Amino acid sequence: MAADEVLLVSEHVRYKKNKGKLKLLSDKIIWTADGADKPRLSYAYSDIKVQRISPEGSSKIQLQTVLHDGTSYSFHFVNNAYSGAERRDRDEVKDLLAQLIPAHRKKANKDLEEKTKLLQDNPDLYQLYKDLVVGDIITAEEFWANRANGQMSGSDIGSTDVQTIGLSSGFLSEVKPESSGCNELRYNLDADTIAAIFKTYPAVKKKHLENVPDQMTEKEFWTRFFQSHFFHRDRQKTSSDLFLECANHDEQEFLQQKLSNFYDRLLDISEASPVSEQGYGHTKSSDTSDQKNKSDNLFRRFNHQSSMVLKSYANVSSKSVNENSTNNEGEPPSKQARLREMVTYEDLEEETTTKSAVLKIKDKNQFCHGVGVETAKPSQYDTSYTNGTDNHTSYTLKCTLDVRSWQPDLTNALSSDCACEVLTEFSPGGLFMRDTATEINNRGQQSVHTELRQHYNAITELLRHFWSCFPVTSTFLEEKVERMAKCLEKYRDIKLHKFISSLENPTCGEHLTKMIDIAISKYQNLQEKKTKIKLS
Amino acid sequence: MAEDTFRRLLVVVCDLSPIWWGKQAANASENSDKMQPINAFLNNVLVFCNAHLMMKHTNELAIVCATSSKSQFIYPCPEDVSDANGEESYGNMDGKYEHFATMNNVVVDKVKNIIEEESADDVNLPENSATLLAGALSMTLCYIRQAERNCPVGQSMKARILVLKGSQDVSTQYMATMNCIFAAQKNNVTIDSCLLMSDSGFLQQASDITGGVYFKITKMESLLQYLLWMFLPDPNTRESLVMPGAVQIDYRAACFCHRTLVDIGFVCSVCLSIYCQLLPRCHTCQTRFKLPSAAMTRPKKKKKEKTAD
Repeated sequence: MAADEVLLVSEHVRYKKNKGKLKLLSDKIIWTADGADKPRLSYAYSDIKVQRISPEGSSKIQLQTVLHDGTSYSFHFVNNAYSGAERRDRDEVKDLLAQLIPAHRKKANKDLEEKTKLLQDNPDLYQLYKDLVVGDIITAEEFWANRANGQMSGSDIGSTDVQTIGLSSGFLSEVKPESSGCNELRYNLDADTIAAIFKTYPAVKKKHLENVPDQMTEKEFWTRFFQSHFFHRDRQKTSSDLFLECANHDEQEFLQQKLSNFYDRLLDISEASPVSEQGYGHTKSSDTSDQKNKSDNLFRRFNHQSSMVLKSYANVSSKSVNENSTNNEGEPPSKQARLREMVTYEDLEEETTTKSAVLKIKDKNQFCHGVGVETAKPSQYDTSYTNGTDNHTSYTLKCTLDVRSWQPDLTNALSSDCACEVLTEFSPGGLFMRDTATEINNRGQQSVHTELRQHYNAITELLRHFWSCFPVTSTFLEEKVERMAKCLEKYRDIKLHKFISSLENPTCGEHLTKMIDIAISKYQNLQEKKTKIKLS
Repeated sequence: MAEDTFRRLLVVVCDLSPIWWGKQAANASENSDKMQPINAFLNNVLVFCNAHLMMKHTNELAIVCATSSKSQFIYPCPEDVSDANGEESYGNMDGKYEHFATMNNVVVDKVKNIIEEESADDVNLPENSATLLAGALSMTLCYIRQAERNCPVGQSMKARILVLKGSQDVSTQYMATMNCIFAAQKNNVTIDSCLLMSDSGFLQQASDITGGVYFKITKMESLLQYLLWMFLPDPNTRESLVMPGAVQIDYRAACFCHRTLVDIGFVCSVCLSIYCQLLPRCHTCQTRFKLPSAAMTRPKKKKKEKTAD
């Protein structure tokens, strides 16, 4: 729907004694004075709280709209084309407004709900909202304008999986008859109940289609339905009943459906059961002359009702799936898979060997131990040990002598001074625990981290607004740049400075201030250029 | 007690390179009087080993020592098991727990033997002086495998390796060492490394890959305290302890051709061999590579033609 689609134009409408035209657009109502280009009044339907009309018989035919903020606008209809023309005009406007106002209010509420949901789902966004909108740095519209795209896509996703509302299992008993007068019951049926009845009893729907317009009235049909339904409960057969056929049909369908549900190539339960008279409840009892148990009937009806309810849901969800899987005698792929699983044995199948490329290694030993290059230059190791006058032999000799004289003295292996020294090294903040100590401190600084992140979020959001205005091509963008620059300055002066001064390490906030400074210097450049152009 | 189903095996790999220890001794001799570094070291290791055994009666211990000519088990010693009489001959002189006394005595004897042998051999082979870390690790892993297999039913072995190493890495051992490290990782064996005086790239990688602790010690006189503090708790216990932060790990690999550590190398796309220079053909898998220079020239020519047009 285009935003400025004109739904209704009513000429000869006075507002504050000025003549003009009242136009109802698709989302707002405008009034334009005669001869003027721009509408003098313009407000959205969602802003209107209520509309009032002048009482019958009053001299002036007027319509008043009261907005949510309390202001009201009165329009005086003055069409003199024929007597009652002004009333006709007014009524047209009134009727249309009566439709539009609730529709828009609903829409507004839905928008609001979506927004609150978005905020609740996304704590970062909520924080941003708090920082920017609640802190009066940008307006709510600006905030949401940027989110509009994401929001739309979100609502699209929501609309794709519309879920049909299920049926209350007790819906029939909820239709309570009111007794009025003698021997008369009155049922109040609404569209929902009728739809529910149709869903639950397809046979009734069929009958309704067949009979209602031509053979009987709607009222008659339902009267007979209720009469018969009680009848149906007791299952006494009288030939005159219109719904007797329905009951039979229902029963047939029930049986058929059960059988179709349980159809399985591997199990055949439709065959006569080994135990006669049982048939797992799926075969029709062979002797119909037997009076069935009352409880049997009750169970049957319950089962039928719930299976219909389930079916009405399954129909919707499986419609799209079934379209793809209509091949192979309409068997669902899951069934085929099951069948395959039953008839195939893994160990009888041919072994599938994937042939991978063989790694050709010339010499396996070489691969494991590297290329045997004996030309390796003497390692640094050797040189480092042979420098000076000392050499291997003397070191070895020394070591040998040392070990020769070794007598284990385990009680004096460690002096207590050394041990204490090491203990301090390992204590938090000690030589080796410096990293872990800062780690522990960092944990305490969690709150600072989250706050820093919030500031980053808020500032980047503002900066995004700011930079998106460039290049400044329209007056609107110009205004926005100005506003954003002011917002940024405000944010820096009020919130950021406070935060940075509270930080132990002010360098954390440097990047933030730098980002804002760049934006502001850009804005100042822009201003200078503008003044230059003006001067020249 | 569920805890009792685990037998904790600690294998201590000691670097007993006589050259390195001799050098330490020479450096330390200026401020003499103190115990010789190697003797102090061995004392510390023995205390640490006793501490491990003392933690729980199911704890097991093995000690491997590596020199530049060979790696050898010094505890438990296969030869000593045969002559059980020898064990008793060590005696129980000062009321020490027998298990400890036996172990200490075995270690002392074996270490003395090894060093004697080493000094005799080393004169003949002066240039091959690197500690055989890879060999010692291989032996350890084999021992752990065996111990796991011999583990009593209903119990399982949790093995870890502690490497005590002073001498420097030799890049010729790169392949073998890395293979050991990956084998340890596959077998869920943790390698802890305690470096004496100098860092080791190999062991940094080993501990990082197997989830062990890497630690460099500069104060040799406090070695025992470091050992008890850092390496006595098993990896499960360490999770609940605050350990020193991680170190920067040297992940440089050694090339296959010259066995030198390379910062930027060339890797064969087929067999993943590493080379320090561009080769037209991989030495290991004989794959021929197209030289990039040939491919590079063509587009340049086309560009030139285009500009000429």
